[in-house]
Amino acid sequence: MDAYNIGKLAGVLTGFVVGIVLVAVIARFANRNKKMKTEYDERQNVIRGMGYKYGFYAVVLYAALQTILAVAGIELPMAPEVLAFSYIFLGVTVTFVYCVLNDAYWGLNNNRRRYLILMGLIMLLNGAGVARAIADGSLIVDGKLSTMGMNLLVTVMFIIMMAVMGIQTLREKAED
Amino acid sequence: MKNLKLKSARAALDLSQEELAKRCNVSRQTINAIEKGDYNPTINLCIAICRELHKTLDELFWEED
Repeated sequence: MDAYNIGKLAGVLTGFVVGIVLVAVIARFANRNKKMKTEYDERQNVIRGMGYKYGFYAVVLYAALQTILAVAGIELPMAPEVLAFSYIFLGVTVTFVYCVLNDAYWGLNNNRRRYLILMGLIMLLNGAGVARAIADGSLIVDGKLSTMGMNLLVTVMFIIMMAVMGIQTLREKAED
Repeated sequence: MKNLKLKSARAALDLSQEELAKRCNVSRQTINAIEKGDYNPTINLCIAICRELHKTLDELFWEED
Protein backbone atom coordinates (compact mmCIF):
# COMPACT_ATOMS: atom_id res chain seq x y z
CA MET A 1 0.00 0.00 0.00
CA ASP A 2 1.59 3.29 -1.07
CA ALA A 3 1.29 6.68 0.62
CA TYR A 4 -1.51 7.76 -1.75
CA ASN A 5 -3.66 4.75 -0.90
CA ILE A 6 -2.99 5.12 2.84
CA GLY A 7 -4.11 8.74 2.60
CA LYS A 8 -7.18 7.73 0.61
CA LEU A 9 -8.06 5.03 3.16
CA ALA A 10 -7.63 7.50 6.02
CA GLY A 11 -9.92 9.95 4.21
CA VAL A 12 -12.65 7.36 3.62
CA LEU A 13 -12.42 6.04 7.20
CA THR A 14 -12.62 9.58 8.57
CA GLY A 15 -15.68 10.14 6.40
CA PHE A 16 -17.36 7.02 7.78
CA VAL A 17 -16.55 7.91 11.41
CA VAL A 18 -17.83 11.47 10.92
CA GLY A 19 -20.94 9.99 9.27
CA ILE A 20 -21.62 7.65 12.21
CA VAL A 21 -21.13 10.45 14.76
CA LEU A 22 -23.39 12.71 12.69
CA VAL A 23 -26.13 10.05 12.54
CA ALA A 24 -25.97 9.66 16.35
CA VAL A 25 -26.18 13.43 16.88
CA ILE A 26 -28.94 13.77 14.28
CA ALA A 27 -30.97 11.01 15.92
CA ARG A 28 -30.84 12.75 19.29
CA PHE A 29 -31.57 16.15 17.84
CA ALA A 30 -34.33 15.05 15.51
CA ASN A 31 -36.30 12.88 17.93
CA ARG A 32 -38.87 14.70 20.00
CA ASN A 33 -38.05 12.85 23.23
CA LYS A 34 -34.25 13.25 22.77
CA LYS A 35 -33.85 9.48 22.57
CA MET A 36 -31.46 8.11 19.97
CA LYS A 37 -33.73 5.21 19.16
CA THR A 38 -36.72 5.80 16.94
CA GLU A 39 -39.88 4.19 18.29
CA TYR A 40 -42.34 2.43 15.99
CA ASP A 41 -45.75 0.92 16.60
CA GLU A 42 -46.62 -2.74 15.96
CA ARG A 43 -47.86 -2.24 12.39
CA GLN A 44 -44.80 -0.21 11.49
CA ASN A 45 -42.51 -2.89 12.88
CA VAL A 46 -44.21 -5.51 10.70
CA ILE A 47 -43.90 -3.31 7.60
CA ARG A 48 -40.28 -2.49 8.39
CA GLY A 49 -39.53 -6.19 8.62
CA MET A 50 -40.96 -6.60 5.12
CA GLY A 51 -38.92 -3.59 3.97
CA TYR A 52 -35.70 -5.15 5.25
CA LYS A 53 -36.66 -8.40 3.53
CA TYR A 54 -37.11 -6.68 0.16
CA GLY A 55 -33.87 -4.75 0.70
CA PHE A 56 -32.10 -8.05 1.37
CA TYR A 57 -33.59 -9.67 -1.77
CA ALA A 58 -32.52 -6.66 -3.86
CA VAL A 59 -28.93 -6.93 -2.58
CA VAL A 60 -28.86 -10.71 -3.20
CA LEU A 61 -30.16 -10.27 -6.77
CA TYR A 62 -27.67 -7.48 -7.38
CA ALA A 63 -24.82 -9.65 -6.05
CA ALA A 64 -25.96 -12.51 -8.31
CA LEU A 65 -25.97 -10.14 -11.27
CA GLN A 66 -22.49 -8.89 -10.36
CA THR A 67 -21.27 -12.49 -10.15
CA ILE A 68 -22.64 -13.29 -13.61
CA LEU A 69 -21.07 -10.13 -15.04
CA ALA A 70 -17.73 -10.94 -13.40
CA VAL A 71 -17.77 -14.48 -14.81
CA ALA A 72 -18.56 -13.05 -18.23
CA GLY A 73 -15.63 -10.67 -17.85
CA ILE A 74 -17.82 -7.57 -17.88
CA GLU A 75 -16.70 -4.87 -15.50
CA LEU A 76 -18.98 -2.04 -14.42
CA PRO A 77 -17.35 1.35 -15.03
CA MET A 78 -16.83 2.29 -11.39
CA ALA A 79 -14.04 2.12 -8.83
CA PRO A 80 -14.15 -0.95 -6.52
CA GLU A 81 -15.13 1.16 -3.50
CA VAL A 82 -18.04 2.68 -5.44
CA LEU A 83 -19.15 -0.78 -6.55
CA ALA A 84 -19.07 -1.97 -2.92
CA PHE A 85 -20.97 1.13 -1.82
CA SER A 86 -23.60 0.53 -4.50
CA TYR A 87 -24.76 -2.54 -2.52
CA ILE A 88 -25.46 -0.34 0.51
CA PHE A 89 -27.14 2.22 -1.73
CA LEU A 90 -29.44 -0.38 -3.28
CA GLY A 91 -30.41 -2.13 -0.04
CA VAL A 92 -31.07 1.10 1.85
CA THR A 93 -33.03 2.65 -1.01
CA VAL A 94 -35.32 -0.38 -1.51
CA THR A 95 -36.01 -0.64 2.24
CA PHE A 96 -36.60 3.08 2.53
CA VAL A 97 -39.01 3.30 -0.43
CA TYR A 98 -41.06 0.33 0.81
CA CYS A 99 -41.28 1.74 4.35
CA VAL A 100 -42.23 5.25 3.22
CA LEU A 101 -44.91 4.06 0.81
CA ASN A 102 -46.42 1.95 3.62
CA ASP A 103 -46.30 4.64 6.31
CA ALA A 104 -43.64 2.92 8.33
CA TYR A 105 -40.67 5.24 7.90
CA TRP A 106 -41.49 7.96 10.40
CA GLY A 107 -41.42 6.75 13.96
CA LEU A 108 -43.67 7.92 16.78
CA ASN A 109 -40.96 10.15 18.30
CA ASN A 110 -39.54 11.63 15.07
CA ASN A 111 -39.71 15.32 14.37
CA ARG A 112 -40.25 15.19 10.60
CA ARG A 113 -39.28 18.79 9.95
CA ARG A 114 -35.94 18.46 11.68
CA TYR A 115 -35.25 15.20 9.87
CA LEU A 116 -36.10 16.74 6.51
CA ILE A 117 -33.82 19.72 7.17
CA LEU A 118 -30.94 17.40 8.10
CA MET A 119 -31.58 15.13 5.12
CA GLY A 120 -31.60 18.16 2.84
CA LEU A 121 -28.29 19.30 4.35
CA ILE A 122 -26.66 15.90 3.80
CA MET A 123 -27.95 15.89 0.22
CA LEU A 124 -26.58 19.38 -0.42
CA LEU A 125 -23.16 18.63 1.11
CA ASN A 126 -22.78 15.50 -1.01
CA GLY A 127 -24.21 17.27 -4.06
CA ALA A 128 -21.67 20.07 -3.64
CA GLY A 129 -18.86 17.52 -3.61
CA VAL A 130 -20.22 15.93 -6.78
CA ALA A 131 -20.57 19.33 -8.48
CA ARG A 132 -16.98 20.16 -7.61
CA ALA A 133 -15.79 16.78 -8.94
CA ILE A 134 -17.70 17.34 -12.18
CA ALA A 135 -16.20 20.82 -12.49
CA ASP A 136 -12.60 19.68 -12.01
CA GLY A 137 -13.14 16.50 -14.03
CA SER A 138 -12.37 14.10 -11.17
CA LEU A 139 -15.74 12.33 -11.11
CA ILE A 140 -14.77 10.05 -13.96
CA VAL A 141 -11.17 8.85 -14.08
CA ASP A 142 -9.96 6.51 -16.83
CA GLY A 143 -13.55 5.98 -17.95
CA LYS A 144 -14.61 4.84 -14.47
CA LEU A 145 -16.63 6.49 -11.74
CA SER A 146 -14.01 7.57 -9.17
CA THR A 147 -14.28 7.54 -5.35
CA MET A 148 -16.45 10.64 -5.64
CA GLY A 149 -19.04 8.27 -7.12
CA MET A 150 -19.95 7.42 -3.52
CA ASN A 151 -21.03 11.03 -2.97
CA LEU A 152 -22.98 10.79 -6.22
CA LEU A 153 -24.77 7.67 -4.98
CA VAL A 154 -25.58 9.34 -1.63
CA THR A 155 -26.95 12.39 -3.47
CA VAL A 156 -29.07 10.22 -5.77
CA MET A 157 -30.29 8.23 -2.75
CA PHE A 158 -31.41 11.38 -0.95
CA ILE A 159 -33.08 12.74 -4.10
CA ILE A 160 -35.03 9.47 -4.36
CA MET A 161 -35.89 9.68 -0.64
CA MET A 162 -37.17 13.24 -0.95
CA ALA A 163 -39.18 12.40 -4.08
CA VAL A 164 -40.78 9.31 -2.50
CA MET A 165 -41.66 11.25 0.65
CA GLY A 166 -43.22 13.96 -1.52
CA ILE A 167 -45.28 11.38 -3.41
CA GLN A 168 -46.43 9.79 -0.13
CA THR A 169 -47.42 13.18 1.30
CA LEU A 170 -49.52 13.84 -1.81
CA ARG A 171 -51.10 10.38 -1.53
CA GLU A 172 -51.98 11.03 2.13
CA LYS A 173 -53.52 14.40 1.29
CA ALA A 174 -55.57 12.88 -1.54
CA GLU A 175 -56.77 10.15 0.84
CA ASP A 176 -57.84 12.66 3.52
CA MET B 1 -63.22 -5.81 5.79
CA LYS B 2 -63.70 -2.25 6.98
CA ASN B 3 -64.13 -1.72 10.71
CA LEU B 4 -67.04 0.70 10.69
CA LYS B 5 -67.82 -0.02 14.35
CA LEU B 6 -64.46 1.38 15.36
CA LYS B 7 -64.89 4.40 13.14
CA SER B 8 -68.35 5.20 14.51
CA ALA B 9 -67.25 4.67 18.13
CA ARG B 10 -64.37 7.06 17.58
CA ALA B 11 -66.63 9.61 15.89
CA ALA B 12 -69.15 9.31 18.72
CA LEU B 13 -66.47 10.53 21.15
CA ASP B 14 -65.52 13.26 18.68
CA LEU B 15 -61.98 11.92 18.42
CA SER B 16 -59.84 12.26 15.32
CA GLN B 17 -57.68 9.38 14.14
CA GLU B 18 -54.67 11.41 15.26
CA GLU B 19 -56.03 11.85 18.78
CA LEU B 20 -56.96 8.20 19.18
CA ALA B 21 -53.55 7.21 17.79
CA LYS B 22 -51.76 9.39 20.35
CA ARG B 23 -53.77 7.94 23.21
CA CYS B 24 -52.96 4.39 22.06
CA ASN B 25 -49.31 5.24 21.31
CA VAL B 26 -49.51 4.28 17.63
CA SER B 27 -49.32 6.26 14.40
CA ARG B 28 -52.39 7.84 12.78
CA GLN B 29 -51.81 5.64 9.76
CA THR B 30 -52.14 2.54 11.93
CA ILE B 31 -55.59 3.61 13.18
CA ASN B 32 -56.51 4.43 9.59
CA ALA B 33 -55.31 1.00 8.41
CA ILE B 34 -57.38 -0.75 11.13
CA GLU B 35 -60.51 1.21 10.18
CA LYS B 36 -59.97 0.41 6.51
CA GLY B 37 -59.44 -3.26 7.30
CA ASP B 38 -55.89 -3.20 5.94
CA TYR B 39 -54.30 -4.22 9.22
CA ASN B 40 -55.28 -6.72 11.91
CA PRO B 41 -54.12 -5.32 15.26
CA THR B 42 -52.69 -7.46 18.06
CA ILE B 43 -54.89 -8.16 21.06
CA ASN B 44 -52.87 -5.61 23.08
CA LEU B 45 -53.69 -2.83 20.66
CA CYS B 46 -57.34 -3.93 20.43
CA ILE B 47 -57.58 -3.67 24.22
CA ALA B 48 -55.90 -0.24 24.22
CA ILE B 49 -58.36 1.02 21.60
CA CYS B 50 -61.34 -0.45 23.48
CA ARG B 51 -60.22 1.24 26.71
CA GLU B 52 -59.93 4.63 25.01
CA LEU B 53 -63.32 4.28 23.30
CA HIS B 54 -65.05 2.75 26.38
CA LYS B 55 -66.13 -0.30 24.42
CA THR B 56 -65.63 -4.05 24.77
CA LEU B 57 -63.62 -6.19 22.37
CA ASP B 58 -66.86 -7.77 21.14
CA GLU B 59 -68.42 -4.40 20.43
CA LEU B 60 -65.53 -3.23 18.28
CA PHE B 61 -63.82 -6.29 16.88
CA TRP B 62 -66.25 -9.20 16.76
CA GLU B 63 -67.50 -9.82 13.26
CA GLU B 64 -71.11 -10.87 13.12
CA ASP B 65 -72.41 -13.10 10.30
